[in-house]
Amino acid sequence: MLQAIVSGLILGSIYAIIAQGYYITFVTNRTMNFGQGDFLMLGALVGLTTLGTVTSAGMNLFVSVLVTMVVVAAAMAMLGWGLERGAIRPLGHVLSVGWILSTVAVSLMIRNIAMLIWGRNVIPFPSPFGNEVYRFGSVGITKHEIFVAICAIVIMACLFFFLNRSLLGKALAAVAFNPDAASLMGINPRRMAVLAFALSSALAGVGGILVGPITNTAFFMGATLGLKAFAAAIIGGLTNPLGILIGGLLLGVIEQVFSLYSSAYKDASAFLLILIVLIFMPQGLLGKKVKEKF
Amino acid sequence: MLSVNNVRVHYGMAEALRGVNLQVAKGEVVALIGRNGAGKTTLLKAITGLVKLREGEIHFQGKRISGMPAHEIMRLGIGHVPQGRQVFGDQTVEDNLILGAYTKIKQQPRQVREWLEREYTRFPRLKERAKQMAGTLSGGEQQMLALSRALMSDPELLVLDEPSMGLSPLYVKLILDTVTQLRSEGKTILLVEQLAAAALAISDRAYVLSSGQVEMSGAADELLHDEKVVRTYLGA
Amino acid sequence: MKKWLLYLLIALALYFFPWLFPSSYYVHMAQGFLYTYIVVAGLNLLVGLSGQLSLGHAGFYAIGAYVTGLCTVAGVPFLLSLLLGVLICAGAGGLVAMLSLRAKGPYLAMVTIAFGLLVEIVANRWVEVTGGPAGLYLPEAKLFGLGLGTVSYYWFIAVIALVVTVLIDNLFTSRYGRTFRAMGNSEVAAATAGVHVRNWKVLAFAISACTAGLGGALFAFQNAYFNSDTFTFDKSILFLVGVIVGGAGTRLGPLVGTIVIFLLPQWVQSLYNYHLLIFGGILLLSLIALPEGIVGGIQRIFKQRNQYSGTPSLPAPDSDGPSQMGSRDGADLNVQAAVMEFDGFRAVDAIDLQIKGSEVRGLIGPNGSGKSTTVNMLSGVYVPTKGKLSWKGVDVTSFPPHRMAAAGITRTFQNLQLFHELTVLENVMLGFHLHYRKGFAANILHTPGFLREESHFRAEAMRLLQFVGLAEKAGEQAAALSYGQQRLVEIARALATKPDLLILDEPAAGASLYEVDNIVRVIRKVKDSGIAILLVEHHMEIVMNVCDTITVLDFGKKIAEGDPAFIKNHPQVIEAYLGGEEVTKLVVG
Repeated sequence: MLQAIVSGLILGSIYAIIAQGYYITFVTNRTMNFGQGDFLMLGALVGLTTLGTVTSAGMNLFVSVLVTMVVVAAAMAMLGWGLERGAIRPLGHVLSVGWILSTVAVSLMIRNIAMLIWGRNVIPFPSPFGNEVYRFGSVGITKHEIFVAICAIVIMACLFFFLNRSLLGKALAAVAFNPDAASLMGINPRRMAVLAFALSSALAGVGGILVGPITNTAFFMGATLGLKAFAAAIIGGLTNPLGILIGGLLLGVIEQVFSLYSSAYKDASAFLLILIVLIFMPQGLLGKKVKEKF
Repeated sequence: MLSVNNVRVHYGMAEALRGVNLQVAKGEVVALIGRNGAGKTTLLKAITGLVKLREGEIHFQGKRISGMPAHEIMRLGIGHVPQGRQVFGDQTVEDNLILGAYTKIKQQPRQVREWLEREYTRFPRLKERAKQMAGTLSGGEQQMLALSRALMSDPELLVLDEPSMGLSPLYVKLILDTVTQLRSEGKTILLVEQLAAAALAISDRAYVLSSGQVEMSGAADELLHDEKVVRTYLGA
Repeated sequence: MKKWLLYLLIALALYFFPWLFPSSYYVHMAQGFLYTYIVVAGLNLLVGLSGQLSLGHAGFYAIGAYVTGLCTVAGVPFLLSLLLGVLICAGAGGLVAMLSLRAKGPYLAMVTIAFGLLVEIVANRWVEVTGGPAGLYLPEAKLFGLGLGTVSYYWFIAVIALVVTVLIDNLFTSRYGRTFRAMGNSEVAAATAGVHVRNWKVLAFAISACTAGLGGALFAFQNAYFNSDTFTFDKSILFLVGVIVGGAGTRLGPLVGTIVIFLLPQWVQSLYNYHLLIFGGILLLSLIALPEGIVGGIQRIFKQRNQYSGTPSLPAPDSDGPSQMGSRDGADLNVQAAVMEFDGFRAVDAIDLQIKGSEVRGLIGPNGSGKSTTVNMLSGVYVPTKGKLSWKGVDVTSFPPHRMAAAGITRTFQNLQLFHELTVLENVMLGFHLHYRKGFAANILHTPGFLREESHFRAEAMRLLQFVGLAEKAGEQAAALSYGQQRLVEIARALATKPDLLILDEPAAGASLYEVDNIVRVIRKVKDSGIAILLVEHHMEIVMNVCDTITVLDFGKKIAEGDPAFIKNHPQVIEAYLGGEEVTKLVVG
């Protein structure tokens, strides 16, 4: 049980990272990337390839990991920029939620491209840190999981500082709170939307590198993971980053504990959770209730 | 300094502004009065770029600003205090003020620090509450914040939309006194106010807007004693 | 008459198809086309009419397949199993809809994705029941003891597809289609016209789930074998692509859409590896360049206005006013200490209000005084934080808008909430929502009773349009009218609910002077017909000249109440608007 909880926390922190991506774009632009999971998949696969290339070129382990992360983050950020320009912005007028379909469309295309490049099979993603397991009593943690934990903390801390302390972060929050008032400050809401998507996609990509060695990679891995990250966001409350963190950790733990009893339906637990939360507590644990004004 | 020519604005199929002409010269305080729904706020939004013009042109300091997006217009030296304050409630007072200087802070960080102190001197209450969330401030304090925030970019033209709304008489006096003070500092001010008497008392000239058109205009103290003004508010 | 001819021709074409293309490959393809079409047609109703997005319809497809399949394996006759499958899907659809009631927009989409994936997982993992990826072997489909071979099965599917088409088309052109479409345009306006939006959303979901399940069941028996590999998220998206690319909300859209999603992959079999890319690309391109779909685009080019109720004819000018505006119960509204709080801010602070009989009450006050909030409370859009609302002796404090409408209170909107896709006539006909007697069966079958009812209410709607002076515009799309005219349409729609209290929320706002005159004329006519009116307005001339009594709000509180003469000279009122002596003295010194 304890093992399940610890593994769950590690996995959950990855969900939280990806889910922050949902938060950033939703709060800034009222939109989300419904293909966030496939962006994660792309991040994992690109990361796998980059890591392979870089390590075979003989670079030091930590440097190669760092390089991989930077490459993936940058590549995904550019993709995020493209997504906003190509799939979000032109659709402001369609169905009012046309962006849902357009981001899904893009994700399908990405999935196909990934399949063409990396093939149809599951590709093992051996952790660059090896398979050594540290034992603490009844609990075992792999080196990779420690790496994930450290990354998660670092990323959360950076996000926190960026969103709350930097000028750009404050500008993002301003646009989220009131886009008109923000443009009166000279802030370009469109540019902020692009930034939000770039950031959100970079997070997805990094999440992919982190989760790859844990779940192994394939071109179809995105859909479930994207939905689980969304579950994390909903549980915590889509409008509260701290809530999302808690939601992610909670989901990870629940999932792992659930799998102790029934491994076949492990994935189902996340979806059930989404349904349950949306019925009883649509604003999540820490979110805000919004009243529409007429 | 500001020249509004034959501006028409549509909201969907409704015509909110039907050919408005307005001028503001440097150093003036110009009031825009009229009852609700007359189009005063729409006119301000058209000037600062939050709303698109169907027809007409707006020029600021000789430059054509109609058609530019709001965030670009603000960089040219206009500060807009929107109706209802619209402070960023989930950020601190100080962060709100810093955001006000968004367009200048990269190039002139030290200057921005000075301006911050200047605003704190103007409104000591804001300094007291510098680290508090803006959303927890009272209406009057939020109005002070919104005003200071607009001043943080050191604008040439200050546009105020209904600063008295929801404020008790004492706060109204405070805000309007500040407007007078700003005028003596050399700022040009365009003021939209529902409280016509108070607005006319502190301005040089005024325009009376009704149903999207300028009904009357002239020197403020003349309008103050004009019976017709009262009638546009409360009907025949 | 024309329609029946068309259906007959199609039936004949479908019948003769296997004679013309006798190879079993083509017949199989036709089968697949038809059951896919059935799914897309139902999804079109959900997405195109009622505006709800479902990204998990493969789930219903799966449920239909498994329920029908398993029942038949258990020995239940095929037709009965089919029925069971469809019914269970209806239930599942209703359930999903109810679960997502609190969820709008993206949340709803996520719920449907979760549902679809959940069904996929259960299908894959619950191997003892579903057979999982290894699949289920089914007995041959039998109709009354006779086995259905390939061609007979095809005819069976063709009959079902034709019937589904007729029924859905009937729904489209019935008041049900109108109501779905109205809900898709403006939920709140539909609610204030008496539509129980939640139930109707559930209905739309249930119907589309039924057709999806039907399609799934027919698919299952096509080869007497199927497995869980089919029911993927991609399939749900494929169905959606069919709806969108064909033209969401159009009647021919599903046909065109199914051609794209079904026939296209057959013709480009060699490009199987690029399927996702192609369909994703088609969807994206469609959304950006042709959001109304192929059929919608063609319709736009030919400027065809979709006339769902046929051309209306003007009734004989026999009545002075619409027939229902005769004797009225009269209003009896009692508001006691109503409070509306938002996050600690009191928009309305304990106001008392009484409106009786057929009076015309004005509600005025400066910006932010609480007028709109009061209107929202009285019409059921907001529930008061505190206080009590009584109407004709009944406590209506927590009544949602559709119950308020049923009780006799309705309203118009400051920011127009017209059903912009519907015609002017259809907008008004929707206002009669609570008065229709013919139910689902009559509407889906277009019974003579239904036709008579439609005709009756069409005439009533025309009379109301005559009343507001818009009879000539009846057949035009509501969005095409001028602003002032649109306001009048809203008033006509509100009158159709046969209210005892009509709340007008700034009816003259944004209208030109000429249009204001028109609106005032109509308000007077409504007043003369004996309906009580609560008029929120800034145009003082209107308020002073039309209202019997005026209530003035400031800062959420009532500061004065009386007849126009009294209010006009009331010092506090003047002060609230202009700024009184106190402020002026303070400022001027």
